[in-house]
Order: sequence, then C-alpha cells, then structure tokens
Amino acid sequence: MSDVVLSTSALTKSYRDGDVETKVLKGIDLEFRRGEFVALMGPSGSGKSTLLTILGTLLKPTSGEVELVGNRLSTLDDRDVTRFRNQHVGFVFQFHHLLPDFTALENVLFPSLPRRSADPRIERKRAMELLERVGLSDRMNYGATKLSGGQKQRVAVARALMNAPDVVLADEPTGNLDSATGALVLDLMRELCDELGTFFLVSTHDEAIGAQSDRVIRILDGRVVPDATEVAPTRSDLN
Amino acid sequence: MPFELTVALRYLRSGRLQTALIFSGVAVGIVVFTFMAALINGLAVTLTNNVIGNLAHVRLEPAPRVPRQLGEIAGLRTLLAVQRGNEPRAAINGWRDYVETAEKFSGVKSVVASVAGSGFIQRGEKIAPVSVTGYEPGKESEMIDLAAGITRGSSALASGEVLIGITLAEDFGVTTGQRLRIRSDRGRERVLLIRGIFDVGNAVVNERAVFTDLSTAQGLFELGGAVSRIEVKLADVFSAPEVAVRLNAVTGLDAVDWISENARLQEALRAQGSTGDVVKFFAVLLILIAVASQLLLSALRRRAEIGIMRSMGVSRASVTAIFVAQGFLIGLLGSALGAALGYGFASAIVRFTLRPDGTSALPVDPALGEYWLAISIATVAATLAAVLPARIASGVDPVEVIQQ
Repeated sequence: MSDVVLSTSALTKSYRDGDVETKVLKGIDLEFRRGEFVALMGPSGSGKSTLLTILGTLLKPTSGEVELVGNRLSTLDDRDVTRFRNQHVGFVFQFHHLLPDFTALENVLFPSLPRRSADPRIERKRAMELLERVGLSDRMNYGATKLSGGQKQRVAVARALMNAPDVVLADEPTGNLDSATGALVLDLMRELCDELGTFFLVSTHDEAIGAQSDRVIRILDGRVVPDATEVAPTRSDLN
Repeated sequence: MPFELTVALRYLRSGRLQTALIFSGVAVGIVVFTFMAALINGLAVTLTNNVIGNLAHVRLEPAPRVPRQLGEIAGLRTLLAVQRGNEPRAAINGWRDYVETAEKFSGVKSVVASVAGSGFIQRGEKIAPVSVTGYEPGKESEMIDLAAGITRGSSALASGEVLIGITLAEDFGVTTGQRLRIRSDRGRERVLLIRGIFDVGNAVVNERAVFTDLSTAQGLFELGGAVSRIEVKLADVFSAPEVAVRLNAVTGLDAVDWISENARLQEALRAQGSTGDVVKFFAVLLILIAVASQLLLSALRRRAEIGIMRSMGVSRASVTAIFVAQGFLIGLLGSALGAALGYGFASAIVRFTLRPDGTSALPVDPALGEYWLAISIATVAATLAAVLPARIASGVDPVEVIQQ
C-alpha cells in the first residue's frame, strides 16, 4: 500500500468578483506521506489557508485534483465529502473553536457522534484516553469555557484525533498562545504524529515550527516555492 | 438518543433565560388558546342547554295530509289551487308502537308521547293565553326538567291536575291547592287543581306554559286515545338531524329536529366559534413567530459553532435536525406547560365566579379547553417555525467561519 496519504495535482483556486478574477492558487502539486509532520509557510495572503481548506475538503478547487487516502475528492458528492471528512480529516484551528456548551470530554467525543457508533462506550473510552494523552485527564468534565487557552488547544488536538484520521490540518495552532504554551502544544502534536503515524500539516508563520517539521513547504503568491521546499531530517534519520 | 436531540437539549439548557422566555411565550399562547376554547365551548353548551333544555331533540308528528288531484287530462294544462283540509287536529293513533320503536334507536335517551295545544286560563275576570301540554304519567320531567324547577308543590301529576309557571302564578295570584279554569282551542273547559309551581329559568315557559297529564289534555283537545306528537331526547344532541331522518324512514311520521328549527342559534354558535377560532389562530401565529425569531437568533449566534460542527463532519441534515428538534421540544414542552396553566386558569375563573346556586357567572368549562388539540397544533407550529432557522443554520459555510 502506498504511503502517500494526501496529494494534489495542478490545483488552482480562483475567486470571481464581477469581472475581476483573483487567482489564489496557481497550480499546486504536492504529495504527503503517512507519519509526516509538514509545515506550510508563507506570508499572509499567499494562499496557505485556502490550500488548507481545500485539502480539508471544506472548499472545492477551481481545477485540479485532490486525492485523499486513494479517493479523488472531485468524484464525491457533498454528503459523501462530509462523511469522508468526518472519517479521515481532523482540524486544529488558531482559535480552539471548542463548543462552549459542552465539557472537554464531550468536545473530544463530538466528531464520533455523526458516525452513530454501535457502542458509545468504546468511543468514550477513546476520548478519555486522548484527553489523558494530552495531559487533561483531570479536566475531562470541565466546561470548555472553564479551561485555559493552552488547555483548550490541547482539547482541540485531542478532538482532531478522535476519529483516528489519516490527516490532521492545523491552521496557526499556536498563533493564539503565548510562546511557552505554544511550544507545549507543538511538542504534543509532534509526539502524536510520531506515535500515531498520522500526517500533520501545520500552517504557520513561526519559523520555530518549521525547524521542528519533517518538511517545510513555502507558498508565495499562490505557488509552491520550489527552492524553499526543504526536506528536514526525520527523527528516524537522526537516530 | 440521536446526537441531534442531545445537542438540541444542550442548547436549550445552556440558554436558560432565553429558553425560559420562549417556553413562557408558548405557554401564554396556549393559555389564551385553551381559555378561549373553554369559554367558547362552555358558552355553546350553556346556550344550547338553555335552548334545548326545554325542547325535544326530535319531534315526531303526523304527516300533513295534502289532497291529491285525481288524474290528469292529456294535452291540457291544469290550473288549480290545492286547499288543505280543515281537519280539527292531526293525531297519532297507536302511538305506543311508535314510542317502543323510537326507544330502541341507539342514542335515544327517552321518548314521551304528548298532547300539545293552545288555550286560555281563566280565574274570575282574568284571562290569559297559554300553551297546554299533556304528558304520559310519570314522564312529566323527561323533556323539561320540571321536577328540578318546582318551587312549590310537586311535579307528579294525576288526572285533573296542572303545573303552572311561577310568573303565571304571580299574575293570577294563585298557588298550589287552588284551581284554575282552562278552555282549549276546541272550546272544551276543565277546572284543574294546581299541583305545582315551577321556575325553569325561561321567561316564556314560566309565563305561558302549563302542563297537565295526558288524559286531561286528550280530553281538552278532543283526541280520544291519540296523541299529537311523540318527543325524543338524545344522548348526543347534535346527532338530532341524522336520528330524525332515520326515525322518519322507520315510522313514516314527520320528524323535526331541534337544529333545523333553531337555525339562528346555530348561526350564533358558528359565529361565536369562528370568533374563537380567530383568537386561537392568532395565539398559534404568535407562537410560530416567537419560536422562529428565537431560533433564528440562536442560529445566528451559534454560526461559529455550526461551522465547526460542519468541519467535523456533521452533515447539513444533522444541523437542520438539531434546530428542528429544538422547535419540536419548545412546542411540545411549552404547550404542555401552557395546557396545564390554561386548565388551572379556567378552573380558577370558575371558582372565583361561583354564584350561590353553585353555577359559575362565566360560562367557562375547563373540561372543554381542547388541550390535546392545542398541544398538537403548537408542537406542529413550533416545529414548522424551526424550519427556516434550521435551513439558515445548515447553510453556514464552515470556511467563512474558520477564516473569521
């Protein structure tokens, strides 16, 4: 089985406002492997967020193709894409976006609910294990609003992993945290990537994150900067 | 429990003040709905009882005999006026068979043969026109509840005795044990002993009706052993037209039901019912608007959460279901609360307006509040009201939310 978990070919995205067409992505060809931790870097307006939302199946490209775990997304209808996203993609946002009326445990459990599991106890056990793994076993029944910023983001990481997705897409996950807390969250994501073999794509401005990544992809003006695509040594290489 | 219902319940629980307000709004709407129903229906029952309390629900009378033309001449147009015969009084002979037949009909409560006619009562120089009705012995109170209305004496009549209304008694200055002379429209006279004086709450009856036993009336109106009509009371007063048709088909007698004879009452009841329906309609409309606006606000306030849910793979259908479920729960629980309050309110009104005789000054009947109908309509209306907010919520674009 191929190790490639996510790939794009000739991906473009344009927005039209009257007669004016703005090209945000201008032909992106990328390939990501299981267990990779990749940083997506570039200045504001370079197209990072648009690329992330397309890869996360939230936005359709104008042309080109996205292939996620062997499935070409253009062949799926809206309902299938939603189901597919639930099973294969996890998100971590800059602003944690936890559901305020639910506890930490319920927030982590939430992505499993649309699957209507035959045995909710198994899902609950997994959610508890994930919270334990992100160091919040003592905060499981806290309301989301009662948690600190760093705790909220750790809950968001656990939530992204709830359905054991193949891909986790993180948009500036440390951008709203102080540097110490941000570093803790980043370390946590990096560890989980290695432990679970899940592919992480982290959009960031933070060069420190780039330094901790297996690979850095730089985007400028809607294009991948070829020279700047760095293949960082993986941990196994270092060992 | 489907997770959509779990989320809906959580949303209702978390917005406590808003939820309390919308529940109160629905409940107040239902209090208005059920109180109007209790009032309008209670008023209809009171009016109907007042009218038909003194009436037979179906009256069987001999069919009028219309002279027939004997033969026609071909090719000739016949011009003639048919004059009905001047027979003294149409009568029902063999009435006991008809009474037995009518008693066997389903829904028939009681059947009484009677003789009815008009006449005058006289005492000294004072004369007054009256309607005279003679009932079978022991059945005097089957059509009009004379027994309950007796203010002096007794309602049990023997031959040669009469019951008169309280107004008539006052006009003539008579009381029980005294005698009155009655002359029928056939010119027959009898002096009758006043056995009882009644007050049935109807001015016309109290002033212009006298009741006697069947044989006395038969003598006064020269009917021999016949009666002039057979009166029927039914368990369901509104089935009278249908029972009348069936009785006519079986007996061949003319069957007149109280509804066709009281078209104006029916019109008044219908108009009153329509007024109530308009008020009830607006109560439901207010519930619909209140629920729609509340959920619309909720959908807008929770845009970000909905976008995040969508990004986690919650389908549009599930988002729709979350909001529709909220509408359903608001409608069901709010209207159940409103129905309970409405019943309590109607009962309190009855209690606070009690008159010394035990009846209420307001014709409100708490049992006729149409509570299940109100709950059903409010639940459906609130669920429908949730559809627009649900559609708006399900249309939230997660990309917009995330990028904000």
